[in-house]
Amino acid sequence: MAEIMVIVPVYAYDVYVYRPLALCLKVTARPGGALLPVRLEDEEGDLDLIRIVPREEYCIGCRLCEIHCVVQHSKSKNIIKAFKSERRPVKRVEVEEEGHVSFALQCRHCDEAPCVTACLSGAMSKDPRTGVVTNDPERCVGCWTCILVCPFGAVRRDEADKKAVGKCDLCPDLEVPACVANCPNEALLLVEE
Amino acid sequence: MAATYRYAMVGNSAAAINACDAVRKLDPEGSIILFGEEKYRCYSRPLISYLVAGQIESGGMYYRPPGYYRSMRVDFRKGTRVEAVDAAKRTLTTAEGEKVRWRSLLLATGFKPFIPPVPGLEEIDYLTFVSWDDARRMLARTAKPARVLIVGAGLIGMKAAEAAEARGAKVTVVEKMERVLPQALDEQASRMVWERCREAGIDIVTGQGVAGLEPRGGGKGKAVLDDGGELEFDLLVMAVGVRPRVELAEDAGLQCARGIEVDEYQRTALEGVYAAGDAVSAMDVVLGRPSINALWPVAALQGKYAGMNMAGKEVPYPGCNSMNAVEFFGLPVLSAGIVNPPGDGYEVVTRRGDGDDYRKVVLQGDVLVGMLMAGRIERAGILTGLIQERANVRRVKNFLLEEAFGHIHLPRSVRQERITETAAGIMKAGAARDKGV
Ligand SMILES: Cc1cc2nc3c(=O)[nH]c(=O)nc-3n(C[C@H](O)[C@H](O)[C@H](O)COP(=O)(O)OP(=O)(O)OC[C@H]3O[C@@H](n4cnc5c(N)ncnc54)[C@H](O)[C@@H]3O)c2cc1C
Ligand code: SF4
Ligand code: SF4
Repeated sequence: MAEIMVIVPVYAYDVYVYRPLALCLKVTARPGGALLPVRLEDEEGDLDLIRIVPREEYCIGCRLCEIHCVVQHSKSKNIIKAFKSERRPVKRVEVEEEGHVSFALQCRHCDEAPCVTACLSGAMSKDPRTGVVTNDPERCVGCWTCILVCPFGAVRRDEADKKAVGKCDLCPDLEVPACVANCPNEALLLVEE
Repeated sequence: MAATYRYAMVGNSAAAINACDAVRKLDPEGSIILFGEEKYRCYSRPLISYLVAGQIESGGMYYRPPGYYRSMRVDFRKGTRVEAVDAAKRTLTTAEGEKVRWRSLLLATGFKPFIPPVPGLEEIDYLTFVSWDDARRMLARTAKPARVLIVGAGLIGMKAAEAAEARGAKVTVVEKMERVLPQALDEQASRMVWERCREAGIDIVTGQGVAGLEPRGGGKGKAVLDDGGELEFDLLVMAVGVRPRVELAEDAGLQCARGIEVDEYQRTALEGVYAAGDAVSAMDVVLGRPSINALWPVAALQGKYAGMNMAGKEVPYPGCNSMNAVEFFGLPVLSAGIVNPPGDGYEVVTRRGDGDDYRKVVLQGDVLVGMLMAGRIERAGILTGLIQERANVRRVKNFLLEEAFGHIHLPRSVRQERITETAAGIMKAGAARDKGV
């Protein structure tokens, strides 16, 4: 029997994003209380890409996302060590602020990612299955071409280990990226696409 | 009978490999044959200076992982030069005499170094600095401390200088123009790079050409400059410029006065023949006309669009601009579009921060047409993006040079559209122009 897909509007970032109802019902609760979509595989086994969407009307500009991002990408993953005794990795999320408005922005994991095409060494790549754009620090030579072409300013020099760049990797070791999980006001949403 | 391939690609570098990737994404079955004259799997040409300087090992040179051709089902002919193309019969012939039929052909033959006629040059065993083989030669010839003379202070000359310096050589660069990297950088940034090079022990002589050369055997010699000054060297590197490599395209019957000409689908004037990369003159959105931007990201992007069109998905090349990312001795400089305005009618705004922090934007009316950032380069891509889109920046003009400049300064609706845009990428020029940011 053919399945009927019900599409419902979901309020995200001032706009309604249309998503299959089935997806909205398949949610897990996390300790903070918010509901999160579960990643579903399609027929080809590809995962839907998850993107992090900021909601500026909820952002309070506290920059906790930046702090937890740094901790998550540090060696020890310990906040005191990360900020006090280790070489501090760069933040991969940036809070932009002007007057009363603020929001946090990280890599958009673009469909036709300019950074991937432009990368001189082949270090920047897009996973064909998950759509996540990541940088392999072993192959990155730190030429900064990706910084030059990323229209979101989402790549930074990360010279903590060697001359290489750092950018949002959607926290592969975590179920929920650190910035989203630690936002006290749910100003960062996970949206499935 | 000659074998027939759905796709044939000539060149094994940025443009050709990105074309292969794009074809395979759309056409998993079509047969692909790829020719590369050099005896290497596809490697990243700009990394040769990193290799010579010892910053990476040879394994780090490769642009794609081992097994790439097999996994992409590409019939790769390493070390094979294509000598002739018959566009009417849709065949090509290799230097070994093998004949191959193709249904669509990509010419991604890249560039070749330009060697000016200097009296005495033919008798000297000089180097160019454009290939892995060149890097090997430089490594061998700088094994012992050497005096290296580099002619030309463009990107390739300066990269060669940096690499030779890292090998412990005593390096001198001679440049005809008054400053280093005259195309990619403006005067101020040139001065900053020059300063760094001087601190590192590299001598730079500007406003001088090499008038003559006297060989001393073993690749050594003496250079006589325009003003009569003399320079002794153990190794000479010629880096005065590059030219599109068009002999194969010309053989196929294309006119190539200024590189191979293509339409917005990367098609040449010959049916079934496409071209991409440094050999090609393609749309520069800032200049508003075709131009040769011999740069890796531009070659890669053209290759990608050529591939998509070869596989039958008609998508116009969005165009590019002159984008440069360099770092010399710890000083990073990024630039895009027009950094040296050619005349009146441009508005130039600069800002000097503390230390090496230097920024500049160039506007034409309300359109951002160029930017340069030195020292603190973070988020430079936001400006590159606005340049690429030919965005109207009237409302954000005053913020462009601020370190915190970002999407927050764009009108809410524009910013939301960008952030939630699923197919974000190099957006088509026009969208932002019409709307204004
Ligand atoms: C030292 C150096 C540093 C650079 N640094 C930078 C940088 O930092 N940033 C940047 O953007 N760009 C840089 N560039 C420029 C960049 O390398 C080029 O823009 C890029 O390589 C162009 O790619 P392409 O695919 O068009 O052609 P190419 O890389 O020129 O490759 C063309 C290939 O085709 C092969 N070929 C040609 N004719 C035939 C034939 N008839 N049969 C078979 N094979 C053939 C050639 O052997 C060659 O391997 C640098 C270049 C050099 C030399
Ligand atoms: S780093 Fe920038 S260009 Fe690359 S995928 Fe992320 S947002 Fe897009
Ligand atoms: S800095 Fe690293 S990831 Fe970015 S373009 Fe250069 S090599 Fe690629």
